[in-house]
Amino acid sequence: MAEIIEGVKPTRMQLLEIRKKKTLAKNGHKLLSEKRDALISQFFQIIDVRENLRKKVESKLKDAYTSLLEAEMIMGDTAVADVARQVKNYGEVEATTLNIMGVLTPQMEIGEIEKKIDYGFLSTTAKLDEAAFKFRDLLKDIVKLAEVEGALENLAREIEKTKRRVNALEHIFIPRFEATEKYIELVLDEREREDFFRRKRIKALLAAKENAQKGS
Amino acid sequence: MKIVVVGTRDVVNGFRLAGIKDAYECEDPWKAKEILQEIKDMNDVAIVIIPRTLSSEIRDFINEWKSEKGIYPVILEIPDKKEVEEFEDPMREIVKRAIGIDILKR
Repeated sequence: MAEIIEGVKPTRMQLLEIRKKKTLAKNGHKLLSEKRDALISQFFQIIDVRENLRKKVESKLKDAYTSLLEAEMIMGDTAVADVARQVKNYGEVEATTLNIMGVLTPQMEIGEIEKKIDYGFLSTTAKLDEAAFKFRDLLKDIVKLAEVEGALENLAREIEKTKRRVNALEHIFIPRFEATEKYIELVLDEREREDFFRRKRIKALLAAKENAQKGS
Repeated sequence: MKIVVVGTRDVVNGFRLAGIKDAYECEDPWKAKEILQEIKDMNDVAIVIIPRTLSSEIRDFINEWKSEKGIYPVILEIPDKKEVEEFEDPMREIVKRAIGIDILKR
């Protein structure tokens, strides 16, 4: 049995107050648990997307590293590093936020990546071009993956918060309100019975007195 | 908003070739931590890409950052060139905490 709220006076006013609070808590609990379920189903959907994307990115990345390694073997790694520094900047993303069930999640759009080579042909090899294209190809997926992972993180945080609230309502607040309600009802009933009995008793006493007076 | 890469030489070279100018090369995790600390203060970063060989060494720092940051930047951990399978996927921990069970399988 849950504890009653401390310092509560067993009066009718308090009873009404607590009943109101109880209904509010129950409504809140229902809403929050619905929110939690919706968030979790959303989470499951995104996690599937993430799994597929992750595998794709990882295999593409592996491929790209191999090409880069081959280019380094042909040109030497300092030459590759030098060339890499000359490439134009494509790392600019349009970042906004998307609202999923009241949770803000990142939404990103990367600019169009040109399929052209920004460095000279003389000192570079075809392998380097291959590696560059593979990495460029990867960028879109990486941005998408970041978007999905960011969404998952924020959703997870929100789920945790909602879960905690649902549990607090379910296991602490609602039982406490119910116990307090019951306690006040018991006290009030008891008081009523006492009153009732007292009235009867007084009536009996008065009647006895009257009888005694009549008799004399 | 921009994408920032912090990583070992191969990662940095690769992403520079892809056209990301903000690539910081570093080989050891502590240096990476210093660089990340600086990135933390920039406010136009959308994605931070870091290889798992570095990030797994400074897991505490990254988790702390993740818990106090807002939506951006998103910290994305990618496999390194010499990636082995033993790296723990950080998403697993998140999933486990959120829904109570471990549904991501390796």
